[in-house]
Amino acid sequence: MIRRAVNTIAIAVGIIALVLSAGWLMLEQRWSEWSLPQGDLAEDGYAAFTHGAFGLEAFPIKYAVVAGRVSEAAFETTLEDGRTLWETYGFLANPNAGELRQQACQGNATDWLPYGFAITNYLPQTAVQTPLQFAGLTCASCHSGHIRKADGSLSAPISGMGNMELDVIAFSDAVRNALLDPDLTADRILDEYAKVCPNDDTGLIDGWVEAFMLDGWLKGARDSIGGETAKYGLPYHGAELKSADAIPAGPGRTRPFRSIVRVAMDLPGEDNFAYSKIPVVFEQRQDLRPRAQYDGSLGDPVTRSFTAAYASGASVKALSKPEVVHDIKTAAAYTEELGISIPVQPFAVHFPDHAPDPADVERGFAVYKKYCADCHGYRPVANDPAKVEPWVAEGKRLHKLEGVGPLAPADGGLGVDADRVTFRYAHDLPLTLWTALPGNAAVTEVQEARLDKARNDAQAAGDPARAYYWTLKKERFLEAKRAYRQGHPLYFPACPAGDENCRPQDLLDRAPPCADDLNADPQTCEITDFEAFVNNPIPYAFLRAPYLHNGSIPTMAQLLHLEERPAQFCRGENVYDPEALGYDAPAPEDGKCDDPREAFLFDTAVRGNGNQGHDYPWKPEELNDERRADLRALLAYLKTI
Amino acid sequence: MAMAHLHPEPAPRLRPYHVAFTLLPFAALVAFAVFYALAQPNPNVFRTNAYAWGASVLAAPPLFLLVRRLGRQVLGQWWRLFWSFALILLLAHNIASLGWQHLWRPDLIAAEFGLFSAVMFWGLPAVWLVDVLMAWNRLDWARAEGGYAWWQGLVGTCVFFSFAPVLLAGGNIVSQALGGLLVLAVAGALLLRWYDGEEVP
Repeated sequence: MIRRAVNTIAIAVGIIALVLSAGWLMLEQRWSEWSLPQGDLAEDGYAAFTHGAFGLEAFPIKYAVVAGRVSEAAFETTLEDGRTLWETYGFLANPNAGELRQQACQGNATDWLPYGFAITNYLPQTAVQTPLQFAGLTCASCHSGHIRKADGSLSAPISGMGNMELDVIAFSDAVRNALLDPDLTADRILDEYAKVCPNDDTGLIDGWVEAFMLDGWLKGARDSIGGETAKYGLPYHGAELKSADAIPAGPGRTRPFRSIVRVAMDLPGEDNFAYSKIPVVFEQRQDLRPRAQYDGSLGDPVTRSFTAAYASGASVKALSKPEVVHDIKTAAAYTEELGISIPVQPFAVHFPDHAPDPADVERGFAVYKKYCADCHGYRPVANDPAKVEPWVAEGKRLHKLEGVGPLAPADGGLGVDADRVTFRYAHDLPLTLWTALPGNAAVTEVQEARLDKARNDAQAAGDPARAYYWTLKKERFLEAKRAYRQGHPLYFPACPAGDENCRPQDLLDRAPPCADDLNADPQTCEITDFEAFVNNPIPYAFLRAPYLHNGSIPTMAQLLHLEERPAQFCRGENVYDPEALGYDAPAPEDGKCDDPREAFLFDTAVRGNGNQGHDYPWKPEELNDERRADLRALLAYLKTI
Repeated sequence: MAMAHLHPEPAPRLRPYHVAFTLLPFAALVAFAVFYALAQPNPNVFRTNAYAWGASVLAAPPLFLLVRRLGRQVLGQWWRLFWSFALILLLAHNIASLGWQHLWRPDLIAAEFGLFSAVMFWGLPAVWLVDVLMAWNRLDWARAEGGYAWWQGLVGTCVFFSFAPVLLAGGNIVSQALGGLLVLAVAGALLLRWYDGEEVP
């Protein structure tokens, strides 16, 4: 009797386990269904750029609905000033939010989640697809902005402009803080959600799976964040989230190399002072801009987009999913055409009352061609101020790298703050990034050989710790190689789409570490580590404020030395100044920025925040009345490009 | 091969406990592969590996039994069931590997690993499948003689030498432990078989 019962139970348990396993695999298949979009680049590119899946899932939608209730302490900055959680961190409002009449719930998330959030069903990191819907960041979260005018109005979101109000590092700390909360549980989230959205019907099976996955996600996220505090430290909270002392990047800036050092190298990045303004991504076509990033360190736009997503936390696994690969490639193609075949509204459309005098523009164009075009190329003046002519990528120093720091020329060269390119581990990054994605079998042999060489070189240089680093990297690489036997779909340098004769191994000369010439035209390395900034075109210059790579100069007038560059100013929800071409950034009072909406004290004396250099056409002491008039004309021209 | 020591009685009947205690570990290994993968950085890779690990776990008892008993004793239901379930997990491993790592393109396996490995990739499950089908269709499956016994021995040898070296050379402790388990199972069975040979006239 007992034997029969034991047998029956064992068989039943076995069958149940098999049915559950098979059922789960079938459901995974259903949840993973995705079809290739068939629209044109403007349509699909915009969709990918703004709503695509990039492996940057932040939290479940249901948690987003109730985050302000169940994690209020973690998200509160004490500087809300009546703003929503999203507005406080500078996310762009959803254009549909104003018309939303119902309670914000999972079912209508597309109408209330901030602009630039994707709704996906990928679990963070593993990229397994389940019915649990997540809110994820996209390109547009950072690379779409709006213009805040003096009358209080806001422009519609401008794709490709950097979001200069976004406090993305503060937001990331708030999320980490919230998820570490030991009192936050899946039940608490779902109970609160049920109170807020009582009519939300998820369905029985999906509901069970959702509750199970939410619990698993929360525990996994907590373990992951908690396990990395040695590398990341404890997240900041409360007023610290808006304090320049705690989070020195502030609005509109990131610390991309701290992120990539942490993510790709698995090393702490606290000694990294490479503060970067969130860049605009207009006219990224390679004939106009063969090198991406301020330092020109990356070539192909797809590699640039991959690196951005990877540095922001997308896993190699997530970046191999067909939908994510498609979105990365399509969004990259979109930025190549954004501002060219996909229009961007020029200055005159945003500020019709501030259209510059045509005579000033003509004079300014002449000044520009004499002093600026060599490095930046130029845009002919359009007859219709509401349109722009195509950018002309011609100039003696256009696309060249200008050395700074140790590579600065004898006369000082650009003279700008060099911390952006002279950080620790900068020279280890190219090979690290390249070998994060294995190529096909022929390529991986070379990748392995270069990792071995890096290890041996480090030993020969008397740097055994670095040799240890490369040994570890090789172990990780071999694991990745086993995972992506035919090569990771975003492996670079990649063959042009449709080129059947191209083989990835033919492009290995462009892979790191590759000897290249700082002044080659343009560089052929896919990733470089020169301590330099690249001369690139500057289309839509009025949307590039604040200026310099670190956003240390609020207006173009200050960049040109028409006005004094401020040593300190307050950043946040700054109003756009169409005359000075940039942000009206008030000076602090008694060393403090008291306005809760412009609370970030930008101090140019802080390491990495320097506003020196780029004294073109003239240094302040070289100015006279005629040159000032030239500069005013130049400013007028710069409004039109 | 001499059949002098083969027990004359037929194979024992298939009893519920045979099914229960082979199905249960099989199902547990499948569930482990499917669900534990959700907590891994790369679930697809984990599942592919876990199916192969499961196949080697389930192959250890029948390999032991085969080496110990072939030509001398009845193989028994444990051998047949474990042998069948191990094959199912190997097939799951190959399908996962082909679909996920080789984009459903069999030619890419040969392109990457060479012809020999590609033949092994397809050949091993093929001969194993034939062996399992014969085991479920032939009346003499438990008391094979002559050519059939040679066949069973050959398939067992192929399975052992396909699994054990790969697992022992694997880059992680789980693979190495499972490779060690297979070696122990076969070496132990050989020792016992040798001892039996001394004892049984």
